[in-house]
Amino acid sequence: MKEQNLDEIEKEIDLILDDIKSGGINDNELLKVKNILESSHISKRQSMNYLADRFSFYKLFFGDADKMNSEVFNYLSVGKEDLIKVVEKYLNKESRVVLDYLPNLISEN
Amino acid sequence: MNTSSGLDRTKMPDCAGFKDIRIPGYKEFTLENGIQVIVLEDKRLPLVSVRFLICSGSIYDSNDKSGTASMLSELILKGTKSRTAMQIAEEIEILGADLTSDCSSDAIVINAKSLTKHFDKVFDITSDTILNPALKEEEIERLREQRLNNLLYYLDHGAYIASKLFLKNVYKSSPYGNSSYGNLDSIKNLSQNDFHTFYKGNFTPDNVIAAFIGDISYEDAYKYANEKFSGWRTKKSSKIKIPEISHYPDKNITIVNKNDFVQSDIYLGHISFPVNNPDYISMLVLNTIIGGTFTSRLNSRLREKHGMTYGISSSFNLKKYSGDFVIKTSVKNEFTSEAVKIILDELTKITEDKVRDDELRNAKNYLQGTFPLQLETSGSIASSLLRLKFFDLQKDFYNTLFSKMNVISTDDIFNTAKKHLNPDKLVIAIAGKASDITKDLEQIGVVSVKNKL
Repeated sequence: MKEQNLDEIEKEIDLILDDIKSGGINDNELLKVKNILESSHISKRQSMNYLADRFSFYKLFFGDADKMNSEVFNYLSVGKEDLIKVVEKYLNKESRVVLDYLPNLISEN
Repeated sequence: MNTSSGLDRTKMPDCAGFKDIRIPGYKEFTLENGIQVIVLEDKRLPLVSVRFLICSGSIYDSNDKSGTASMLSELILKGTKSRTAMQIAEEIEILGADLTSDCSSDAIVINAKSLTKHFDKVFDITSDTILNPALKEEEIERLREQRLNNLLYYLDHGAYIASKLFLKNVYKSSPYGNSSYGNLDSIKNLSQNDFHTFYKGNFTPDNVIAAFIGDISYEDAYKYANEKFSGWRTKKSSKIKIPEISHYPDKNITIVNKNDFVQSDIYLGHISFPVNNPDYISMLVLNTIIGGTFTSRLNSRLREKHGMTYGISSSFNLKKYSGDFVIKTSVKNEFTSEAVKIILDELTKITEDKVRDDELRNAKNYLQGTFPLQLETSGSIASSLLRLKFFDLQKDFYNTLFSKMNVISTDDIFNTAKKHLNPDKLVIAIAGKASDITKDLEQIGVVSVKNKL
């Protein structure tokens, strides 16, 4: 793959992030993601192994295994403005490392 | 060796044994048109699974048309008379639901799962795919291209080649010997008409078993099934009877030659019986001892003692009308004949001497300890209950499984081994570099070499 292409890919990624920042998430998209998260979190609770893993996760990182019970509601209460905040705070150009990994070009040179 | 926690890691931990499995009571009904329905209400989570078993799989593909059933199972989800493939995918995704299909040699499965609150819509889409598939040309072409690409990729893989060669040589002319997925020639030639024909002959109410599992009452399941499926009237399924195979093909060794291979993929075994046979449970135990676990005889010897392979396993692949026993492994070229000899030796030993008491106990504990984990999800409970019906097993099969297993003795295992293992009639299928391995393999038997599958 040529270098130009990588720049184009990076631009495309930025466009998507900018779109979220400017409020471009539509309601259906958010609903879809929440439905998927809700369904998958509840589905996974069928597994004993998953339950053990999540209880210990909440105990270890939040000090309270019972937080497991509010997990799904937390996801469901996320709003568009929360996503914009996350993009601005974490997915910005200042806190980013861009690595172009081009093993073939290096060895050819 | 004692660890800081005081555990002795050199000894296997004791196991106190397991309590019987109790599958909660489930109910059944049959619609007037013949669809059989199983309902198991389980309100622990707000989830419902529905699973449809179309009791025809790739063994009903016509001659030269292998892959029809399997490709049809994908095509079913790629559009109905009123929904495009994209619409189905989008509707299912926005509900956070799953809609999948699968095809084995015996049956096609269509499986949907969703939160209770979305089940109404998900069931509507699922029944639409079964009742009104569009079987569109453009979707057929897309799937055909994908399948041809996949086949080209698979045909470079030793395990794929050896497995197909094994099936062909072990089942001979039985349809169980055909590749479910299809082959390059058959997939190239499948026409829209072939899918219509398979659909018409097999997607018929008398050939369908459904299971509703989860947060759904018997009454609601009845309502759903009745609403969507009671008006489904077709001719009876046109399935032909699949003959049971009772003869063993003679011992044979076949290599598909691949000059660039540095390891041999080996599939080795013979014909066995259908699922519904009186020795089923002791066959499970026997297999566990031979090659069903990491601590099995085969893995202990080939991997742990000789370091010849990363892993070796065995299984009885028991099906509706037939079955096979197979041992699979892969080894470096130079170990090929030695590995086969060791496998033969292990098979001979287990048919000549009784297994040890501790081996038998460990195998039972392993099976009973892992079994409940296969019944965790609504989907896996659905498929377990459908298995009972499909294979005509006793209704209390799972509930009595452990107690029946517990009374199996080393004598029983010995008799099962003598009856169900036949080291003299092994079909040995190998994908590997013939010039490196043929000569040594000839010490074991006559070897034939082919250049392609």
